Amino acid sequence: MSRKKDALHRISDEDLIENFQEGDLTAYDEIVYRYKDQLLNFAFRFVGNIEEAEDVVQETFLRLYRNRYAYRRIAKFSTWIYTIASNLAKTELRKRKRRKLVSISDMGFDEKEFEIEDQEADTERVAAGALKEEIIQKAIDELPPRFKQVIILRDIQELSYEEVGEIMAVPLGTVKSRLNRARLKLQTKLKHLMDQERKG
Amino acid sequence: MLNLLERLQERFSSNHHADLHKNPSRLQTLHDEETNDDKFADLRNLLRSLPKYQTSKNFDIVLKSLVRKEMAREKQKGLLTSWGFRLRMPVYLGTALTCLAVGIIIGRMIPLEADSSQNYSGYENSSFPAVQIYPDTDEAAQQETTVRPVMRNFVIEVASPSERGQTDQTFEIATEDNLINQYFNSIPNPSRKQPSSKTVLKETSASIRF
Repeated sequence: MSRKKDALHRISDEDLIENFQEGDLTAYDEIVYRYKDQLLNFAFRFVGNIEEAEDVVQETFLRLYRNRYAYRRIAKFSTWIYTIASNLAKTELRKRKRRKLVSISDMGFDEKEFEIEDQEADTERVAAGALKEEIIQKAIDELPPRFKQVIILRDIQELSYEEVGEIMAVPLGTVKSRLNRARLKLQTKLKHLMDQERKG
Repeated sequence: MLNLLERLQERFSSNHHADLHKNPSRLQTLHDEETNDDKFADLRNLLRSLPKYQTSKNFDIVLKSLVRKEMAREKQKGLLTSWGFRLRMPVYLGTALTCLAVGIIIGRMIPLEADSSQNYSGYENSSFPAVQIYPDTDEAAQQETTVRPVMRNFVIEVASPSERGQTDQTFEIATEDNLINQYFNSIPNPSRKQPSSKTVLKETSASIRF
């Protein structure tokens, strides 16, 4: 049994999906095992909420199960599955936008969700990792979706430019220019934090 | 620069980029990537420092149940789209159509029973003459209460006002059919004492509708 597992670990993603297409369910389990955390981190940085990110990843694997025969070996499996997750994450964001519009209109002025956080206050907490992460996540969330996607795929998931281009369905040149602009925007937003990091 | 070269070397040695030696344009792309990335090294380090999350235990349980449901759905769908079902489909369809055709034929063969229990009362005092219609095949058929949907010959019996209401078979035809109207117009003046008249009309069923 463990020998079979070892053998599965050595198989490439493309061979795994081929085995799965032929009806091998252990190949599907191996794919889930390989990608669940990667995709969770990708989806989490995209939607900014861990529960929603898990939902996105679950739906991604379910789509993979349903559309397993749609995969052709002409593309890398990783780019294919990232494309599915990326589309689902974008859809989730759109849904959330709609929900937000509804909830604001339903809320009264006495309710606390209208309180705006004071960003200057509590500077000591900046040192804390949780707050740092919160600030970075907030800065990422504020980016337009196409910039957000390119930053997450390249700088957080560390995929190659070519893979990013395939996932986003844009040419390499566009990836480079988009990434450059996204980084500049993010750099401006995180300037204080980066200065602090340098000092610290 | 040394750092960049080291990283390129590292990429060359990895299995994923093993074919780079054969592809100089790809090598150039990688070089561009590295130089682009180096410009934002601080930002990249900051983003890399973000914690990595792992899926919860609940994730696997939920995913397994979702996949199981999907498997069941596929099985169900597979039964309907299987070749066995597809091959049997024309047989099922043929049987259904035959049954329908037989049903229609039998339905047409069963005669429509005339409702003799209906009471056509309330016309006793009318000056309108009572009319009785039945097939004129033979004497026995005159006793018949069955009105067949297809009749070619009809007997229209007109009872005089004094005889009206004496028979259950008598009823009034309230129709504007030209033929009937023509017939009624030909009835002699009822003030003259007339015996029951029997007139045989030979017409196609299409002429008289009731």
